[in-house]
Amino acid sequence: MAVIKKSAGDHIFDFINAVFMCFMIVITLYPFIYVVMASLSVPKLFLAHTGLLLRPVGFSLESYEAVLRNPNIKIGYVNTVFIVVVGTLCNVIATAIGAYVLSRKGPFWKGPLMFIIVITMFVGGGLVPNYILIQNLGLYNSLWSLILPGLISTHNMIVMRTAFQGIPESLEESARIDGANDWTILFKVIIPLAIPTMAVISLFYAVSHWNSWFSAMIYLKDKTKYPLQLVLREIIVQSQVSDMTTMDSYMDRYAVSQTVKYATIMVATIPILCVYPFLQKYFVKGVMIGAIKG
Amino acid sequence: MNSTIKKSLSVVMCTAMLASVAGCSSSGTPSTSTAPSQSSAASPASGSQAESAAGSSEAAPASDGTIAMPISAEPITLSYFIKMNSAMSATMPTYEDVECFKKLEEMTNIHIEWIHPSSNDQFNLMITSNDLPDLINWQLTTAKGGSEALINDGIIIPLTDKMAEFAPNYTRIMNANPELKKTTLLDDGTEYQFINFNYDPTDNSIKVFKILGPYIRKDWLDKVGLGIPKTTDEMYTVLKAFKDNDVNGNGDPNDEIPFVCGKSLEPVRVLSGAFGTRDSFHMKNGEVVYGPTQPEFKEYLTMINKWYSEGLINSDFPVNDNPGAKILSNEAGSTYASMGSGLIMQSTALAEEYPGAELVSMPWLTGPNGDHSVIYDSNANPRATAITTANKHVEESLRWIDYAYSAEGSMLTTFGIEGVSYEMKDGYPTLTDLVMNNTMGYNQEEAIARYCLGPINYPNARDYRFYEQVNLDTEMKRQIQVDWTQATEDICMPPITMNTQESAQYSSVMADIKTYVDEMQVKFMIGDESLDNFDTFVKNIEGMGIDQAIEIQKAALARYGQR
Amino acid sequence: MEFTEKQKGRKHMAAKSLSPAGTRKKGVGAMLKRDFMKYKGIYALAVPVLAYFIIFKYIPMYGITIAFKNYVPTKGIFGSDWVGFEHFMRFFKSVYFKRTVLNTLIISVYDVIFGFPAPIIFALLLNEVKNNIFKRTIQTITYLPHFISTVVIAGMIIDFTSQNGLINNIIALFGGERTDMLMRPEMFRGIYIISGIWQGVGWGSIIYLSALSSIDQEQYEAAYIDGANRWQQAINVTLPGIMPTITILFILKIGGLMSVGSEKILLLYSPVTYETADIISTFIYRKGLLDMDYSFSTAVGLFNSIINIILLSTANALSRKVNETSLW
Repeated sequence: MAVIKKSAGDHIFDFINAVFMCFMIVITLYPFIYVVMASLSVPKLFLAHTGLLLRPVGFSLESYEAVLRNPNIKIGYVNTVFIVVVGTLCNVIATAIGAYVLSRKGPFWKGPLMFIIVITMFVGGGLVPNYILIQNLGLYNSLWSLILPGLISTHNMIVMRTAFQGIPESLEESARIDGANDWTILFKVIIPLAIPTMAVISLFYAVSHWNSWFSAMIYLKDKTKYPLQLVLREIIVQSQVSDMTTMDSYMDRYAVSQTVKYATIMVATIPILCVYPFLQKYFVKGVMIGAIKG
Repeated sequence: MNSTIKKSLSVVMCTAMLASVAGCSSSGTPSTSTAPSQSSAASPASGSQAESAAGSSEAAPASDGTIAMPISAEPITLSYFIKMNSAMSATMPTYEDVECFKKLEEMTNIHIEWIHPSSNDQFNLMITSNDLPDLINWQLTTAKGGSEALINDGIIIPLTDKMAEFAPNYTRIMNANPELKKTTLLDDGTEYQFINFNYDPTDNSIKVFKILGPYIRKDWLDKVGLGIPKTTDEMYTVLKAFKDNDVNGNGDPNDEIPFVCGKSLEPVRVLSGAFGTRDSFHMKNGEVVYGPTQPEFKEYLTMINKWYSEGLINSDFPVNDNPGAKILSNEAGSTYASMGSGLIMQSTALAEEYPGAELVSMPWLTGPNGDHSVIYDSNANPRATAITTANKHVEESLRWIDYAYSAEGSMLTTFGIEGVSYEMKDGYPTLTDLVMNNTMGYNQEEAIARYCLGPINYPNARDYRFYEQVNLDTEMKRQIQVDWTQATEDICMPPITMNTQESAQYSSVMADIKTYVDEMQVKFMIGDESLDNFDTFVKNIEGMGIDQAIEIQKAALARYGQR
Repeated sequence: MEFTEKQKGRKHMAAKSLSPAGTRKKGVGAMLKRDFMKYKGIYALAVPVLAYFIIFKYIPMYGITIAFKNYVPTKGIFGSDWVGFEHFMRFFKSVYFKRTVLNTLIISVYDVIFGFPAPIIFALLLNEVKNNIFKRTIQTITYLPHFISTVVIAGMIIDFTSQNGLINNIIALFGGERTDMLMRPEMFRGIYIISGIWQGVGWGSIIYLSALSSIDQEQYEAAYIDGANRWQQAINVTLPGIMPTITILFILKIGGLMSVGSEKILLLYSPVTYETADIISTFIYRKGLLDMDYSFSTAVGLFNSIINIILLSTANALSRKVNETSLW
């Protein structure tokens, strides 16, 4: 590999770029800092605070206590992990199959099929028919009601399709000559060459599952099946006091409810934030393309 | 069945004897302190039952107010769709674990399968997919098409002919409070729901408990030598004094915000009651009018505009999302908010941070023309329980629901278990230390919620003495109720209902008008629009079809009047 | 039916056109059969995919009829009465129809002009960062705001833009005048778009970063050898390399022009800024507070969707002509 020399212009650019990136780090880090500091603040003092928040106002773990003492949190985590792992796996496989079908140049109905599928991104039946469908399919109160309806996200499938289309046809042809069928081609040729895209799409699905709560609220009856986000949402809603109850602990309760929101975000988000750094290594340039040549 | 009859007969016998001994009147309506069954009288239960039993002992056991136990010979299960209160959901998955309900199940032989929704969508889905439980508790009047649709389309059943016989306690209380009863009926007089209210057993009255109102810094008033303002003119003087002086004592005479308001606009909105108007439909001289087109509304806007331009209201009020912070930071002098999370919470916090600071309630202001009204009706859209068409045990359900309105039932549901969560001290039900100062790791509200319903909105006759001991235990809190209950509800519309066609037309006309009024209102207030253009404003509203909306309101009101 | 297939597809066409006119119907059937024989594997894989879409997307579509009925939950979808285009007419006749549609489109267009390129540019700049640790750190931090709920972000925006907030402090430092920025209709869109970029640029760049890592390294080397400097490499190697991704995402974005969500706007707007901030979905939301009219909101949603589909199809067709990348 040739050594790439840097010119003076290059250095100036690098410097400005680095400064810019530092600026980006600072401004995008702030919301997170705010949430962390708010969650660690003494609730009563937090209420009176306005403006930037760079350190906790006082220090207290009350908000975390309010969130974590809820017995449903553990169940929530377990359910969510199941949904994220199993769900994402199902999603990725199904999406890959769909993307593969749509990316091949063969069948003549490829265009119309694409159109039919894209339309579903814009037009849908709405909450009521979907609810009735879930009931009719016997999926009500089952965790599968959170995985199957959203099995293929058309948006993600389109992105994957674009990636699959970018893989040279010659590779597919030589695999066919070697006697491979479509299934083998998909899993042994195409997917390995589209690892960065697979990583990104997996991330999108995983995050989507992690954050979702609405379907769970509608389709799940047993609180023991509730995913984490729904449990947390109920905690926030719970902590918003109804004014019919006014007792000595009232003030504390109201104050805590304001910071509970932030503790909830921390509890909800930290785990999923760890996924992306883990996936970053798949975004390394040229790793896979080099494999093709070899 | 036999044992039940025997049991109730013996009760009747005993009470009849006691009644003759006690010599109390046997009138249906309670007139003494030991009022009959529907009160939560402190006196021994049998005594109170004596009155009612004696009054109508010829009738079947159920109609005298005593609910014969168990309600059902065989154990039955009823499914109950009801939102769960936050204090309970913090410590238990369903209402099943609340002590008073456990006791109730033991007594009545009726097991409840609790279904707790978390959103409005679930209510609509339940209805539309015809997946009905036996009992529903909801703000039934907010269902699409109103309660009429729920009844006409076969979701819930009308109860008019069954109420008196199977829900005697509720019936008696409702009959004693006809104005309240009217708000719970359909236009044609049909009864169908059970609501919650505060009941004072000592005089058989329904007590209204106010939780929203205006309040002000007393210590600032003292500093400028003024009393608590009662009229809008007095308020202006007070606000001006706050503005011009360094009342918060920090050396800067310019940082005070005499009246603080947030983006909900409520504090400013409610002031229109002092002019006998509001920014929506209201009553005026017995007629329905639309506030923004009235001259009084212009007077109100003029006042607000004056206050705003003189810096008496925070300049960013249309976008401020945290007005409470200004109170807590010792910058704001007065506002309008809720009792608990506003006044009480803030006054305690202030006193800690700024010794000497005193936040107190103030009465609703009276306007230049003598108007003194609140703008929100307290009876609109109550949460209520109804019986669905899927219910196969209607009579048992009615008895079960009605029990909570009986003397015993009211005590049980409001205070919990005698000896555990409350004790009778000198005839007054007093909450015990177990719940008030629990050591189980719960806060007070949660502890109480494990035993009983207390302040929770559940269809029962909530014994007012509950509030007395928890919410009216200080002079300040009592004063709050005095101040905030004085205002009339003269201008408030009663809870009328519209049918499907009416509400479709109403909402399309009003969506436009309301947007226009909301926008212009604020513009008038902050001076972006000159008040000279008020007449054009009114004309535009008329041009958008306000007449159609007024007609609809009038028709609905007429129907209401005939209930 | 139009065929943009390559020679293989054209062979089918050629074969078909050679057969006599009378055998036309058989031709399609035969074509299908031939196609199936040739692409058995793809047909097999397509079946479950198609089944999924039919079951979970197309079967529930009867719910669209709500837009043409007066849907009342108590009557169910099938029991509610037909009203034809009444809801659509109500929407079109509203005094605020024009304003809300315009506001929606303007915000969307601003988003396309400013919001769409931002993550791309950011990804390209990030790509130029040589230090891996620094690069990873930037990636891991800049995507955080995406996970902070809109409610919290809105609270921060309100705080920053208030008279004594951060932004005004900076403005005052430079001698400018302090204002409550969210009270100014002319500033609303800017605040909305810029805060959107702030929240989304990091997360949005992920997809472009993954596309960047798929570019053949050898092309860079070849360009360098040809004497291209960094800028020229970016224009001639990098950009074309991720162009398919950019194009597809751009087409999809155009397909979202009428669908600006209400959550963030509801948190930031107020009657003072209705003239620029009130969009279709916020207007519907307020109407819903008066009367939960599923039919009306479904009708408006359908209207939006149809416009979106038209826009998307147009963008798709244009894209096909211009750079041969398209959805269909």
